[in-house]
Amino acid sequence: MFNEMEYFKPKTIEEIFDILDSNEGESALFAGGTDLFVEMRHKTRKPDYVIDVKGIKEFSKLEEREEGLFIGGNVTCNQIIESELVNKDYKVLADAAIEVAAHQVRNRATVVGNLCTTSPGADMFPSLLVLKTTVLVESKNGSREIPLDEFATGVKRNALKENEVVKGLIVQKHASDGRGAYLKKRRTKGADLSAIGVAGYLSEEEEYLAFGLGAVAPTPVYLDVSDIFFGEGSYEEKEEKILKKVVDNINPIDDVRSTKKYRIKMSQVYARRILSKLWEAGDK
Amino acid sequence: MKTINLTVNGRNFELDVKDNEILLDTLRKRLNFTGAKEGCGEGECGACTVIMDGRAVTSCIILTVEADGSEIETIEGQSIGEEISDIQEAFIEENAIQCGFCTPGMVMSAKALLDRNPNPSDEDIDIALSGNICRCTGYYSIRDAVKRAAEKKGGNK
Repeated sequence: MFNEMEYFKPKTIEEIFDILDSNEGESALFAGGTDLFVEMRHKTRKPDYVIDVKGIKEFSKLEEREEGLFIGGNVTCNQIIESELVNKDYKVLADAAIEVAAHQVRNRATVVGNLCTTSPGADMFPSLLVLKTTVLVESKNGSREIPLDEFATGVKRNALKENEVVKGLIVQKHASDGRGAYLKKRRTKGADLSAIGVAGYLSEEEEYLAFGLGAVAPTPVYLDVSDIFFGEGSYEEKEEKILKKVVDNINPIDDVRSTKKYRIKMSQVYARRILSKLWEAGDK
Repeated sequence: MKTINLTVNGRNFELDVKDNEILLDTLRKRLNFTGAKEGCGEGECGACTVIMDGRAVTSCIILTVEADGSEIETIEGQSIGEEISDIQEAFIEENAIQCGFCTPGMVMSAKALLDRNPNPSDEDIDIALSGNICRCTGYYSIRDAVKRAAEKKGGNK
């Protein structure tokens, strides 16, 4: 049983701030609630009131805009997996979304919620990082934008200030030759958190190659290795330099899901596999 | 306390619910739909799976107030009197049940899948049932049961 609390379901963003202003104690915003309600079950969170953002229409949008793909705060992982638009131009997001928890949870769990929980191993981070994503934040004082690589500030900590709300995300659209991949290592099939998650994205047209790595540092790691890959040298030399850079930029720990040693090794294995897959896909 | 309207298996209920009430508890303890089970209580085992507005969800991590205006389907709605559904029949024919604790959730996940996709591949079935854990380990027979149910419904031919 959850602690006693009050439930609000605002219809507009402004209403959220009115609720926050007129109530005292700890608040919790949620859309899917798949993280919040588990924490409430464990009594690690006992909010005095919860705000369900599913009533806000703007948050439910998943659409192409001039700046890129808009993913509203209510868009679930399964909506990402099923979206034709995502599968056409942002497929690496669907590749990551299908790795989040299991099917029923993905019917509720949102992409924005995955980011806001800010677990080091959050599956949506690596793919959104390599595509270059901006977090759209609203508060009573106005709007601001946070680049995703500056959003996570620690384990389950992020750059959001008190009473700020994430409206959605803008994911940059890339050149038509761009392609990505996401690989996740976990202990069992089904609902397990990642022991390591690696995303990569390559576009020759943009001369862009980047990797995103989850569960290998307190916050997800973004690595732009375009200068190495589009610089001088053979494929093998570049690959070696990239894998060295991967290891130099991660700082994994030992925990129940994996050892530090295995995470370092698998980061390289996955980065190598992704690089070779993306490179070969360009030859065709 | 809030007053909500809920449709369960086609029947409408008007209920006064506490803000912190959990959907699974409302279904089991107040409305007597005890088919959905509480396993892990964290949305990981799938024993509490019901269909909410056409989507399979884990009712142990949903507030009842969130379901205001929703249509819920539970295992109880799958049979009419002694007459069971194609999916239930297929589970029996394929011996896809051992202790039965996970079965209501498995059947509801299978129904949500077949309602959206009458011709599922093995991979589609595995994905749709990935959140339903069976401790008796009958996964192959469960997959076969979903395929058989699809055939009974006219798909997978």
